[in-house]
Amino acid sequence: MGVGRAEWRWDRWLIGAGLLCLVVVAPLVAVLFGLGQTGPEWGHVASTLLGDYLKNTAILAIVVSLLALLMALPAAWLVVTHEFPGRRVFEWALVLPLAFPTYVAALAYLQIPEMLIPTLVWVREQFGVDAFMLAQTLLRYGLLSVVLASVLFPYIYLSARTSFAHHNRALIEASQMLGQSGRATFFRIALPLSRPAIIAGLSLVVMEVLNDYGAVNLLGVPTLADGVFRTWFGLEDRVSAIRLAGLVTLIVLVLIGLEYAQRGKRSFADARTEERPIERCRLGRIGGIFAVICCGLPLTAGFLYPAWKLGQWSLLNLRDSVPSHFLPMLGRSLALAASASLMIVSVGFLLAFTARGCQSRSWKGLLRAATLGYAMPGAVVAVGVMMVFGNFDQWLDSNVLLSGTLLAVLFGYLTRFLAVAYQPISAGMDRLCGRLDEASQLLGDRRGRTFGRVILPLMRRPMLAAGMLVFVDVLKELPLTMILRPANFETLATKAFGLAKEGRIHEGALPSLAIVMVGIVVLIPLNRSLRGGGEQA
Amino acid sequence: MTCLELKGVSKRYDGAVQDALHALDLEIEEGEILGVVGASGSGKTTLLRLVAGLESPTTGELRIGGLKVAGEGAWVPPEKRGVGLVFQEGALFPHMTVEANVAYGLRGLSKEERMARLHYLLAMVNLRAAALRYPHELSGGERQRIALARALAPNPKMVLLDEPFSNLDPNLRTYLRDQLLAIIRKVNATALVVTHDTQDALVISDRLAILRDGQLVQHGPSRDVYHTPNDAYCARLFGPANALPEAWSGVAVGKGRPWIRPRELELLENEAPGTLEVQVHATQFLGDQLGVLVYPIGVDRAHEEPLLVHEDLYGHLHEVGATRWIRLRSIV
Repeated sequence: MGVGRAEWRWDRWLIGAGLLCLVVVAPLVAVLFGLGQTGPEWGHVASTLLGDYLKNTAILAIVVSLLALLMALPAAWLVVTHEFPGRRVFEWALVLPLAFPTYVAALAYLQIPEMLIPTLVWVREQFGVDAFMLAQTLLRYGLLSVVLASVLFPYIYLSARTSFAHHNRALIEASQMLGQSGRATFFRIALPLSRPAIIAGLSLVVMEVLNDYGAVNLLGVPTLADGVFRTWFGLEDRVSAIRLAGLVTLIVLVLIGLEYAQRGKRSFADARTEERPIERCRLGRIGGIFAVICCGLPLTAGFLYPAWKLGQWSLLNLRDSVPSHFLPMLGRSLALAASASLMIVSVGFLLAFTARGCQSRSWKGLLRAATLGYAMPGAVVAVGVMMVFGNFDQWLDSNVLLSGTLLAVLFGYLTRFLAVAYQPISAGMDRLCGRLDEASQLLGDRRGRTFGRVILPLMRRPMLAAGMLVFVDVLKELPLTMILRPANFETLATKAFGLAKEGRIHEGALPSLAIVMVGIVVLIPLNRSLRGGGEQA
Repeated sequence: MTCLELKGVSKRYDGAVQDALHALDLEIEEGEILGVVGASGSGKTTLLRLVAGLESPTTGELRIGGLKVAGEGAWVPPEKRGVGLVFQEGALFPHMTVEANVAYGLRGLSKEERMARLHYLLAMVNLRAAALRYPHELSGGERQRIALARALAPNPKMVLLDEPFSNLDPNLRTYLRDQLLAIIRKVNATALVVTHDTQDALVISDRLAILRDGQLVQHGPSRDVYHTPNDAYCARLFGPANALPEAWSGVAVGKGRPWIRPRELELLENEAPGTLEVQVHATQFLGDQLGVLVYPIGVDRAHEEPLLVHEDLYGHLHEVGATRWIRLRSIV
């Protein structure tokens, strides 16, 4: 009666988007339900493997976090507040390790354990078998931690750099004026003020460690994510794999809760920023050398060394001719990534558009749930998708199975990467559109016309940015693709990993390098927009 | 004794084509409050940052308490200058309580001494009850008082205040201004206050320094600066001012003052000795007074500005076009 057409249509939008969210979140819900299932083999998995998985995951998460903090924080502080040779290059180059998927970096480092065999043999001869075993374990854990930290530290570097650069300069000066040295000011003022940003970056690092399948598998340190895989395919025990996946989901949810809780205390940290450009303190000779080492070491470990190794091996590989399988595989991977990006950006856009102006708590909760997939390991999402599609296939009861088709792969990507697209689009919409669509409607445009004439043209750049991010993530994605892909369907990621697994690391270099190159092409403009205050995401 | 001394201090920022501050000579005596005023970009903040040690001068030298802190061959960093700074918006550390903020600069004291000093400072700014609160839980005025307590905590040789009353509503502003002034007087601190609000500057300063385009254009006791401005810029910084009418030039009115404040003129209905005949051009309602714009008879209205006279609102009615006479009031 009193409800106008516009309101009714608005409701229809909301219901449609809500259903879409439910579909996206279904795999995660399925995995959580799986926690309640028990199978005959679970006792064996729980008593023999689970302890190791948990222990390895915890050790890795802690060691990698500490290493990544050590790599990221001094570098971020130095490039923001000091002047030294090469600072400008380091400022952007330190983001480059993000272009390396962990398994590709691990592939580049795979030779190191081989090179150290003589040392290990010497240890065995000198100190006995126990010492040899210990040294071998330490080497494996140590190398894996270094590999993971050196490609994941940019998450912390980026958030810390942005936070340091936007500190209220007056606070730093106030500390100086009250007699504190630069070092004391860093520890007492700058670091505590940046704590929320650093923890946000750190939580991404921990999530990536939890997610990692390729690197831990190549370097032989079984973690929970690897365990899901091994239990499903190695032991062929689906029920236990689902329970493990449920356990990982719970752990991730707790971590997200903790991060969210600490973010609640951020009110103090939102100190105003100042437009005055930062006056960098010029370092002397010794200080300059120290700064170059602080920035150069992580860059070498996370980018220069693996890039050099991959480049070298790829050249060796290409000396005769491009391997025949390479180009079709490249095309296939790019096409898959492009179609996934298109789909995910469209869904992200639809949700962001619907979310505007809607204050409903349940809708916001649903949206948050739908974007949780990014924090979940790919293997867990894949298990969830298998469960959903398995049930669907059973329900259809026809000869056509949806599991094991590209549709399942795309659906997995949607659940896993929706947040990657949604966040920049939603931020762009808040920033760019404001109340413009309302103005357009008041000037006589219908909702559809407003959409086409105002929203879409304004949103082109944020959508492009979102699409590029999703594209790179899909191209890099390994465990989800491996589990859900149709038989014999190879992407750059699965091929690189497969070849490395077979010990053909030189051949794996070429597809790896292709993934990294695409990553770099996307990272550089993105980093520039972040540095410039993100005027256009 | 001289607390702060600047000799020929200039500052040019990297890439700038002109000095932000040019060949400045200035002194502040101990216990004195110097107000620095000027339009935006005149070099006020640069002066303050040079004294604080947050910038270094391009040429010239700076002495604090007789000690050379900047200049040829000398450089004392901000943390060693013994100068307190109250920032525009307080710059309180948001992750620390009020107590921790105030105690931040206290060093070399025993726990008891530290607590005693802290309590003294908090009582001085009348905020003992807020000791355990965080800056975001305080009002704007409370934040500024804590910022002053924090700056005074280490017993600085002098305290610098950078636009301490900006961003406050007018009522709070007056209240806070009086309070800060009382505290500074109580501890007999030497202070340099940078402000764009000339009313604030007049109220709190013993002496005023006026900057324009990086140069010191006038300085002296506040009263003198207000009543005998050197030029139009100095005159109009403190509100409307009339150029001395040509008919009065050469006459011994106003002791040779080329600028007259509207309140210093009196509007008469009849001619009297020493008056000048004018015609009412317009009137302005200004709240507690009436602004009357008049032209001396015979001036070229196209090229001359009218004279502004501030009259008691409840005085005579001045119709546009009416003939009146103006006379200079004597300043007590």
